[in-house]
Amino acid sequence: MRKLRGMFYLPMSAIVLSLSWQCAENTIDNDLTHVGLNLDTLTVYSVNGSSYQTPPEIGSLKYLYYGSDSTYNIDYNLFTIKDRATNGQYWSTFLDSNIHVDSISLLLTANDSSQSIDFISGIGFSPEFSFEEYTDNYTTLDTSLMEWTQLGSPVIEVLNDTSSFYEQTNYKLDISQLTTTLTDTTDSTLVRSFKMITSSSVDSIYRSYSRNYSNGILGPRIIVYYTLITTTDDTTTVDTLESTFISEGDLSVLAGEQENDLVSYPEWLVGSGAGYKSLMAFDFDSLDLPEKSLIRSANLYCYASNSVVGGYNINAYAINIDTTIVGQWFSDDPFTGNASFISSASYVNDMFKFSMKNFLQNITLGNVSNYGIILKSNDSNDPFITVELDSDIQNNDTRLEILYETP
Amino acid sequence: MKRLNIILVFFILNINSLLFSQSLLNGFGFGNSPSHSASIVGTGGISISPTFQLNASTNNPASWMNLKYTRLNISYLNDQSMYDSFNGMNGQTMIGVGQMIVPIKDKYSLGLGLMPYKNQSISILGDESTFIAFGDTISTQKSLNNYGGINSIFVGFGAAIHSSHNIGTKFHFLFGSTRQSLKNNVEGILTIANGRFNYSGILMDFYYSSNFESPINFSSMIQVAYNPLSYTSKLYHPFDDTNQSGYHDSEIYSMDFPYQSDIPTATEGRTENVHSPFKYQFGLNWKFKDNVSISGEYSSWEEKGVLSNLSYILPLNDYIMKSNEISLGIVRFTPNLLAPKFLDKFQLRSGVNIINYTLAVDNSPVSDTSISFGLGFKFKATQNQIDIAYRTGNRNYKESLGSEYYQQVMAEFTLGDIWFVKRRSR
Repeated sequence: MRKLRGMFYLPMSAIVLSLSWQCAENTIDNDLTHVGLNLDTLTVYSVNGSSYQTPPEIGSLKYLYYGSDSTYNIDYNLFTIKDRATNGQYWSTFLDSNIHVDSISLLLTANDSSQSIDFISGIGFSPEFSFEEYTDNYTTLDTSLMEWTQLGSPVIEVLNDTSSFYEQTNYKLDISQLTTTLTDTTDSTLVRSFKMITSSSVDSIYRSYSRNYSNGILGPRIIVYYTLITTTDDTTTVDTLESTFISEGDLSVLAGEQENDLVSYPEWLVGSGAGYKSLMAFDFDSLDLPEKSLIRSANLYCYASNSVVGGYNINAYAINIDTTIVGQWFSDDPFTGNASFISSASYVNDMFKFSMKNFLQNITLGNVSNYGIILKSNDSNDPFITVELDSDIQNNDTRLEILYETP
Repeated sequence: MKRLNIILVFFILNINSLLFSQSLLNGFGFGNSPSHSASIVGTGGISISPTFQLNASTNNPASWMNLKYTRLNISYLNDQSMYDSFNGMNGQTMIGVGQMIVPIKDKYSLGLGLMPYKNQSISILGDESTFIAFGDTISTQKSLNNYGGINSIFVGFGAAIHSSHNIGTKFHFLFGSTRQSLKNNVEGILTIANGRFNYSGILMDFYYSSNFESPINFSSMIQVAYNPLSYTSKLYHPFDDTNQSGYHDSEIYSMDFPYQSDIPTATEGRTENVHSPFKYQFGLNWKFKDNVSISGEYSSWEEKGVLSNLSYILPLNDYIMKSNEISLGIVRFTPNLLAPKFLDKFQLRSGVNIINYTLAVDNSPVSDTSISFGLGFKFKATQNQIDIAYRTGNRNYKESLGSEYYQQVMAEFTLGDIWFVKRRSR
């Protein structure tokens, strides 16, 4: 037993002695050119593209537009109001006998001080008409099939701050006559849809906030002003309150200018108002880089041939189906963007620089196939701007630059 | 419980020393086994001639039957290297060997043990360089970190086939793993490529020792690969260590690129015959005075493995192809006295060692010259023994690596007991 104990104590003593001797960890400086992870570059100039047109996809924009100009005509806007108010109340709340609805107002808000005259000729209401904000457009909607209760024209309220500086413009319409309809709980199919018709005299395009702006509180909304009477024992309390019901879907119905199917676009076009999108393909497959290469950066450079004022962002999505464009006009977009591989580029120095790093890396890994990318306008853009990308591959510098490390 | 704690500390400290230790020799291939025993280190590397006790070497099974008692010994090596070419210094502590030797009736012997076979821990920092990509100048610097190495569990047998001739054999079952982490710092963001290598192989040693009555005796050894060393590799896809954690984190926690879920599992492969040594060694031992002997040994070692097309990165881009070693040592053993004086309990050792390695790729030589001293102390009736050895020397590499000055201290603890000896009845 004592010997065994000694077997443990003696080594311990040696270890303590060993560790007390100078132990250090200095890296050895030496040439490592023989190992992997070497940087290299690849430039792909073979970039081809083509443009096509679909109905405008502007349902997710931050503004509702109305009016017309030489190119675009927006006849009307649609919006529906939610069943639940921002304070948690429902329309059915107002059926309570202790609540008395004083008035109901429909509001739209703009931040344009020039909208001092009424650009909105009328607002209609339908308890039956419904639409899809992100997919419907002027080709799929027919509002004439429904009967719209005409509510009249809104009045304009220009609000200034305490320093008398312009703050916002409200279009306000009293719709108290819809109280019974809006609070109807017996109709399970009830929708609260409104159609806002632009005045025919408007020769320019204006905008108000949509529900996609900020948290939606400045978009189309209904404010219910009511009185709550509370009686407890011998005390009766009367409160004057309000509830705000914001929009759950709004859409500017822009009549697109459909190009002739045989038109060949001289440039690659991107613009949401006109429904222009472009498809780009470049020669790159999983074998173009050595196996297990790691892409450090991969940038696709596209140059704009027209001047873009006020900034512009284009989203590039990888396409996950192999499709060849036949024709220029599609009522339904034939290409589905892969949301996993999205890249956004801003207009800087007359060009757009898209990062293709993740997309190309996954091509090398065999996770996706290279069917190209689709370029779409970002929701933040002015929908009435169309960017023309230089498609003359003989003269422009459109290219894909890849910096990678070999394994 | 206390003992368990001690064992735990023991292993933690040894694991620590293996993880963070390096010598330049660690970067050259799979061969070059370190010294394992203090009696060998103290006599300049004399390993098959008797240096542990009279007529016995801890490394030679053909001499184990000359030990009087069953032996359990553990040795520790503390190694320190200084490099003149880049003003660096490294230290390492590691177990030398843990083995048990059982002599059976002066005719046979059996032994088994565990020892490190090849330490592959090394950290290398490459030169800073620039790369021009699309008009931008990009700064890069690579580094390579190796951790781990190869160990050996060995079993040895010895037999006295004649009163003057002993033979022995030893089987080394090689195992272990190495992790390689290659990094490239590109503009402050590391790319990391990791690899893991698990080794297996079997080596065989054959020993002969003469046991003549004359003062001069002869020993020899041949080592061959019964099953050459092979490894299975796991090579992981490189990644950008964006969050600088050192690991390829899940995308839930970081933005390391590519996402962990996007990359395939590690590429697995097997490479055969990466290390197949052929070694022969012979030595002469002259007991020119009672309890004092001089030994001289020569050994030749050659790598027969195929090291082309390795997935394992040779850290210094070369490997040891062959080596020749000459050792000279002198030992003053403790006299076998019934009532020894205190000074008679000590053993004294000294030696010189010269090794010439030849590298395969650039064919340049590496010379290793050292001198050593050792001291042993025997105590108790079963001849327990403490041995301490000190060795200092230098290795000269090619010009870019310069010289490596090293010193080693090894301590060895041996406990003896009586096995297979018929005890007298009381």
